[in-house]
Amino acid sequence: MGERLFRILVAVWVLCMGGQSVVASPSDLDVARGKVADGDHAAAVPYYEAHIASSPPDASSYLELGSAQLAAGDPVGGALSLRRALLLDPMNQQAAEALRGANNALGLSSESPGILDTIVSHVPLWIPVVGGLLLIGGGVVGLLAAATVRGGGRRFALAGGLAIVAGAGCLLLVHLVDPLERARGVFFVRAPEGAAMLRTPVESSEQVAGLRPGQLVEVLSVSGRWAHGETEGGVRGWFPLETTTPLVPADREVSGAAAGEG
Amino acid sequence: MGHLIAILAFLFASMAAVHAETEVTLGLSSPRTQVGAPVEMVLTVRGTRSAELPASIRVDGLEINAIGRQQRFEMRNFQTTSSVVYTYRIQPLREGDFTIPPVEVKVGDASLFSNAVTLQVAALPAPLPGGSAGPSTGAVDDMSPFFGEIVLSRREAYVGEVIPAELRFYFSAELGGEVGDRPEFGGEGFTVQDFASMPKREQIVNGANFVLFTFQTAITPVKSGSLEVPEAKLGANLQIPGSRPPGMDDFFRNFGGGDPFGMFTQSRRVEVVAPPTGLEVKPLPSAGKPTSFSGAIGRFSMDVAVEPSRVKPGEPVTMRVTVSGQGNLDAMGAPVLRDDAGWRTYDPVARVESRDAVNYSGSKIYEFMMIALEDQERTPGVAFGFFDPAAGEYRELVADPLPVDAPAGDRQQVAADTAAPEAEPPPLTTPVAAATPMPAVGSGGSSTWTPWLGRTWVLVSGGAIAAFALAWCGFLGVRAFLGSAFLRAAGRRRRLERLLENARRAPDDGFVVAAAAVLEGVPGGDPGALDLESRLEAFAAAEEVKVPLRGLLGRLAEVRYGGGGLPPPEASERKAVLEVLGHLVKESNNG
Repeated sequence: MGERLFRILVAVWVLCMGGQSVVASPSDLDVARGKVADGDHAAAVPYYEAHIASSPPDASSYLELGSAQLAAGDPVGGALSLRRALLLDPMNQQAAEALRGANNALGLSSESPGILDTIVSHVPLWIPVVGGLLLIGGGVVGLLAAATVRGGGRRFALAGGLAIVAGAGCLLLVHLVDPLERARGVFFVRAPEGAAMLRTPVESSEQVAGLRPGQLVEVLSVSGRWAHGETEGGVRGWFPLETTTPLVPADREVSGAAAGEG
Repeated sequence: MGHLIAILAFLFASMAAVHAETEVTLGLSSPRTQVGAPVEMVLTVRGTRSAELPASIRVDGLEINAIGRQQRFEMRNFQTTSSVVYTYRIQPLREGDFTIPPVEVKVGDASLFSNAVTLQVAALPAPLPGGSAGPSTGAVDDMSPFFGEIVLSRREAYVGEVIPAELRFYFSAELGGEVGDRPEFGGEGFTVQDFASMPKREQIVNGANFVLFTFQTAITPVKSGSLEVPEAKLGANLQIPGSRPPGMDDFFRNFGGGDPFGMFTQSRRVEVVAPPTGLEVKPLPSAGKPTSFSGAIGRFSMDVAVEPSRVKPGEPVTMRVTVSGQGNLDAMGAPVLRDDAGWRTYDPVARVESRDAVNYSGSKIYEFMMIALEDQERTPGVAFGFFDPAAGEYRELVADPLPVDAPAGDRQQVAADTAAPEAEPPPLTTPVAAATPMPAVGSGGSSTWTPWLGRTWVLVSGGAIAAFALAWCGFLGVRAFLGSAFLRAAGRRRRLERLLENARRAPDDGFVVAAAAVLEGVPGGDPGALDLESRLEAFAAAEEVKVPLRGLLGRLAEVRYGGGGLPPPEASERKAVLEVLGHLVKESNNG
């Protein structure tokens, strides 16, 4: 009886998660891992990419791909994959360490984690999401009870209001710290030679900054093949969109068809 | 007739000159001199025949006096230019660098400003880099209208030393035409840097006004011995004055002499040649060469900084070594790190910040990225060796280690990093081996790129909460609607009508009870609450209403308390009671 109930609960959980934990193409992954075991990291990369293309996003897949790319001598591609692994699983310390090494190889200083990064690297985000929803639900029940019960409803109303505020605070916190939310519009300099950030979207324009491979830049607007963006240092300028790739693969809001997929 | 033609030509030229562009230039016969040695300054106002100048030009340390004024007319390809040339004599009173500010010239209602010029005045004897403050007498070559010269900053040099040089080409101010963009220059035994073209300027040579085109460069000898620096050539298309018609000399003399209109010029392609010069090149000495010498020749200073001075375990620190001075900035090698045990260092990234056009003066900045393999409190030291050509000996600049807080990172990772063979560090200087064992796919983190608050289950949960709240609110609303006074009144109306109908249909023995039930349903009709009269007063004031009700209530009391001995009401009494009750029900429903 207990086992049956457990199976039902697991099935409900899988349905709630959209049934996305199913591994789509294990054969590519197996081949890739076999290549890595043989020391042929470069040959493993396309199999990892095929697996990722045919499967739901997964942090460990990106971590394995990034590690293979690094070992194959592609620090730019490795850094991109590791950043994506950290987006999917901010608590993955293995990916964080590997990314730090990749940045060193690219000559990029490892930025010290901010308070938001610290939060997501220590607290699973599903906890405040579920907690916030429960608090809001409970708060709604409290308010409705206060409106239903005659006499003594003030306590219900107060408790319900506080619960709703707390729940909304939890969801707001999730919105602020969610790395997938913060990565919207952020692009990764994919070109091995980097790119020049220009004052105007003209090839002959004055260069205001150099974009190093592996650097992140936030795209503010797009005009043709040019993107107007801002670096983490606050420098704004124009750069060719084809030298970058969106950090979140599904983020097509500003990339359009021009942005390559790394 | 000849004079008439000349006068017409002059008038035409004068009218055309009005439309010429006005330009004011200031030039020196030499940019360097010494105390007591005067130089000439020429102020040329082109495009006008009259100009108003300040009464005097005052610069502290210089005595400037006007010594002449000359007016010129030039016609080239039927375009006439009129110029006024003012000549000043500058007597230096003391040594120093003097800047003669732009001179304001008023032409008509407009104020124009010349360029500023700088005069370097040295104490005796005057140090003249390049050995020349102007062209040598021999170079002038009988005052040819154009000539050139090569000016080297040194006559003796060492192999690898950068020698700034200037290629100067002089053209008589009376010539017109175009000159080439860059000269032809080069040879064996030395390398030449790219040319930097300087703005043209006026210069007086042996009392004649010349326009000087200067190209800066630097040569680097690559072998020792007597080096002949070959000639340099610059092409030009010039308008060369031709011979005047017979009998016109006296007339032209009236307009300042010379060839005033430039009418009798001929276009000619010329190649201006700067004659060769020599350079004695010595080899670098082998004695005293420091181990940190990496080819730098010149005079340098060094500054070292580290940032950040505190890092987290395994994070890199950057040592910035700035070598400043004059020398072969482009060619020289990097400084050497010393006592760098416990550090993993990378080849530095270098860039030159030049203060001149030929990268001779300036700074070269080297950035060493380092990662601590062991806990470090001090950076490595830095040594930079160079050869000082002025002193003829090697020197070494040494910087002590700087304090830094750099703990070592993951030792296994660091060991893996350093295990890579030194022979092939690129392309991955920090290899990250495939992590084993890998976590199972899908074992952690998100499985979607959708942000948390946009995911299906979160949206569904929020929607369920909202739907639940709405449903509950709907329930409360329905309940409140159902409990409203309107519905209560409607129900009462229906109940009264139903009771009244029951009374109409009731048999005789049950009529009293049924009728009393109607009376009790009417507001204020509770028969047990008040005495009989009060109840009747409450229902109606008319006596014809009170009478039937009084009889009904009396019968009701008899039924309830007296054992029911009264006979059933007659039909008339029953009809009267029903009429009154119907009236009361109607009033109650309307109210």
